[in-house]
Amino acid sequence: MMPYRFTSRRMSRRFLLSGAALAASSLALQACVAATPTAAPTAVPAKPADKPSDKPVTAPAAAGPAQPATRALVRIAIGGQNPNSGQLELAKTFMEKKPNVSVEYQGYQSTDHGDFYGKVLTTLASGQQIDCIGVCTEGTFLWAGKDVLIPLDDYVKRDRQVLQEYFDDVSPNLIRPMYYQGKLYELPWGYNSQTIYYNKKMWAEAGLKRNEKWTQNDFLDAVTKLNKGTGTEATAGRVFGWSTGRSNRFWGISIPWMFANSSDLLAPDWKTSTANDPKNVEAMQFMQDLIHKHKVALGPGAIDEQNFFGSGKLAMFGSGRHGLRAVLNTGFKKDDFDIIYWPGWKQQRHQFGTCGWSNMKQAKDHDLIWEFNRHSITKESVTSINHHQQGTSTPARRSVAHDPKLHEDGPENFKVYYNSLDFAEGSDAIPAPAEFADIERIWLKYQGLILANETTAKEGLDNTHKEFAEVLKNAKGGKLAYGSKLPGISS
Amino acid sequence: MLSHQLPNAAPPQTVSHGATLRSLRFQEALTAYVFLVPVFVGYALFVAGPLLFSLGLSLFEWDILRPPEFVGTANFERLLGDNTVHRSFQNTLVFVVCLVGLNAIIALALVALMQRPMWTALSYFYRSVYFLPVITSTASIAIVWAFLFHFELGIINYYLGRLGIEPVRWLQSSQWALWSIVIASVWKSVGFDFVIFLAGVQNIPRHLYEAAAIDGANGWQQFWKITLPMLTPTVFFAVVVGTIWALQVFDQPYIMTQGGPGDASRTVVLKLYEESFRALRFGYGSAIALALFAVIMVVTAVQFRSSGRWVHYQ
Repeated sequence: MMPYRFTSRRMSRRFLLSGAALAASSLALQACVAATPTAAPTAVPAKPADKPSDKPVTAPAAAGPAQPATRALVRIAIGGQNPNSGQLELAKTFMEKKPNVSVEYQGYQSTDHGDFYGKVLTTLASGQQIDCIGVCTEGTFLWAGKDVLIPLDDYVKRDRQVLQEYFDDVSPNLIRPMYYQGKLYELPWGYNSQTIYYNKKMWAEAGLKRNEKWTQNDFLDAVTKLNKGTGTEATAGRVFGWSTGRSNRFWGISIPWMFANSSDLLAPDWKTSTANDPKNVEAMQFMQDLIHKHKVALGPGAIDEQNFFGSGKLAMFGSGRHGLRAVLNTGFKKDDFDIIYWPGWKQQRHQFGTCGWSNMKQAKDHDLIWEFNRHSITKESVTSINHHQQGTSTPARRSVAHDPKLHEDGPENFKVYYNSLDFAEGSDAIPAPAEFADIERIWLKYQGLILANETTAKEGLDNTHKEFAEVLKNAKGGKLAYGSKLPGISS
Repeated sequence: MLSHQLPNAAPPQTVSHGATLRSLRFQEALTAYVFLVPVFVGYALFVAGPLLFSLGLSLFEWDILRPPEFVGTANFERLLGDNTVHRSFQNTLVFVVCLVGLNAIIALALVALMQRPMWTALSYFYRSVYFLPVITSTASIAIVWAFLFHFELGIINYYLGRLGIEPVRWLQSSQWALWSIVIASVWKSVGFDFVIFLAGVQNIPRHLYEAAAIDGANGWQQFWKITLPMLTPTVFFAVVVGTIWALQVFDQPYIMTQGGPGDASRTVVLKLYEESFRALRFGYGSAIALALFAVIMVVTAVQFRSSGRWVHYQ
C-alpha cells in the first residue's frame, strides 16, 4: 500500500514506522474480533489455580471406557474464582455416571450474592451459555421472577419415588423458600442459619451456663458479664461481649433479632412491608443500645470478627457454619469454642438462607441439567460438597449434617446447626423477594444509620417502610408461608 | 551514489512539479492517518461507541434478561425526582472541591519546601515517596484506610485517644464518612499534583528569581509573585484533570463505606453502579451516567472559560 518507490536499498524510517502502525492496527482489530471465549470440551486436569483465571475450569475427565468423539457440555456458574475441591468432586462423580458429558465451571469472584448475580447476568447478556447456576435464597425469587429458570415440579413428580429418600432427609423449612408462585425451582444442597459462637473459657470464667432455651435478657446478662473494659478503643485487656457484624450487611445482623421478636421486615408472602412494626422497632432499639448504651458490642465495621474472636478480643458473635473455617484458621480447637441457638424473645425462631442448583431456561438439555440437579443432592454429593475441609455451609440433609465425621474439628454441639431449623416454630429464610436488590439497598442504608446512632430506631424503620412500599407496589410476592404444605411434595 | 549513476539503472522518470507535490502531500497525509488509525479505532470502540449506546439505552428500561422496553424520557424524569441521586451529586461535588483544592494546596506547599537547598538524592527520594501512592491500586489503599479509620480498632482513633481526643466514628457517621474518603483520596493522589508542579517549576526561567533577589524580594515574595503565577498553567491542568477524575470516584466509597451511613457518602458512579448492576435498571443507570457526563462537560467548560482570568502563559 505504501506508495513509495525505493530510491535506495535501505527502507526509509517513515516506511518502517508506517508499516509498524499498520501491523499494530491489524493486530488490535483481530484481538477485538476474537474476543469471545470458547469452551474447552477436552478434559484438562483442573486444580484450584494459584493465580486467578478467566477461563472456565473443566473438571478432570472420568476414568473409564474411551470417550465418544462429541461430549455434551454442562456449564455451571459458581461464586468464587475457582471451584473448590467439593465442586470438582461433584463434577467428577457426575461425569463418571455420564461418560459423554463434560462439566465446566465458570467462576465469578464476587463480594456478595448481589455482586455474583450481577456478573452472571452480564455474562448471559454477552451471549455466553450458562446451563446451571448455584442460587441461594437471595437470588431465587430474582431469577425465577425474571423467568430465566425452569420449574422442577414435573421432574420431581416424575422421579418422586427416587427423591422420597431425599425429602425424608431434608427439613421442609429448607425446601419451602425454593418455591416461587407455587412452583419449585431448586432443591437445596446446603444452607446456613444464624447461630451464636461463644468462647468456652470466657463463659466459664464469667460463670455462664449453657441453656438451649436462653432468652434475650439472658443474652444481655451474658454479654455484660463477658465484656471487659469500657470505652471503645482496642486497648490491652479490652474484650467485647458481642459483635453486631463484620460489615453492614443484610444477612444475620438485625433480622435474627426481628425473627426472635416474632417479626420481620416483610409479610410472610414477601409481598408487602412490615418494616415499621413496633416489634421491629424494639429489636433495633435493643441492638442500638448494645452498642451505644450498654457499650458491650462492636458496631458493624471493617473487621473480621472471626479473627477477633480467635484472638480473644471478642466473646461471642453470630454466624452460620460458614464462620467455622475462619475460626479454626485462627488456631482455635474444638475445646475452645462452641455454638448455641439464637436467644428466644417472643419466639426462638431462627433465620437462615439456603442454596441449590438451578436449571436455566437457556440450557440446551434440561433433562441433562436435571440429572445434575439430582446428582448434587445425593447423600454422597452433599457430603462431598460440605466436607469440613472446605465447608462453608451446613448440609441440607439431616443425616449428613448430623454425621460426627463431618464435625471432627468442632463445634461440640454441631447438631445446633441443623436443629435450629426446627428447634422452634417459625424459623424461616431471610426475606428475599424478587425485588431483593432494592430491599437490601434500602435496609442497609437505614440499618447503618440506626446502628450508627444517627437516627432513632422508629424513624429509621418508618423511612424504611416508606421506601419498601414504593419498591413493592407491583410486587408479586409468592413466598409460601411457614408451615404450609409443599406443592407436589407434601402428601 | 544516485540511481542514475548505477550501471543498468532505470533512467529517472520525469513528472510535473505540481503532480509531484500533490503526490507527496497525499503520501504524507496517508501516513499520518495510518498512525492515527489505532487511536481512532480505540476511541470508536471504547469511548464513542459505548457513549452512543448509553445515550440510546437511557431511553429504555432494560434488565439484561429481557428485550429493552422503550420508555422515552421516563428515566430522566425519575432522575429529576430521585433524592438519592441528588444527594449523590451533592456528595460528589463536595468531594471534588475538597480533593482538588487540598491536592493543589498541599502539592504547592510541598513544591515550595522542595525549593530549599537539599541533597539531590533526598530530592529524588521525596519525589518517589510522594508518588508511590499514585501508582498503588486504589482498592488496596481503600481497604487499608478502612482499617485505619475503624472506630474501635483503627490506629487513628488510638493515637487520638493518646492525645486526649474523643475517638471519631470516621466511617460510621454521616458527618465524617465523606471526609474519611477525602482524606484517603488526598493521600493517594496528592503525589500526582506534586510531581507535575515540580516539573512546572523547573521550566520557570531562573533569571526571574535572580532579578527578584537583586530587587530584595524574600523567599515568600518570590514564591507568591514569581513561582505561583508562572505555575498557573500547570495548576490549571492539574485542576481540570483532577476534577474530571474526582467526579468519577467509585472505588473508595464502594470499599470503605458502601455509600453509607444512609446516603452520606454515596457518589454518582456508585449510585449508577447500584442501579445498573444490582437493581438491573440499565436504562436508568445510563440516564445517570449521561447526567454525570453533562456535569463534567459543564464544569470543564466553566474551568476553561474562567482560566483567562487567572492562568498566565507568559
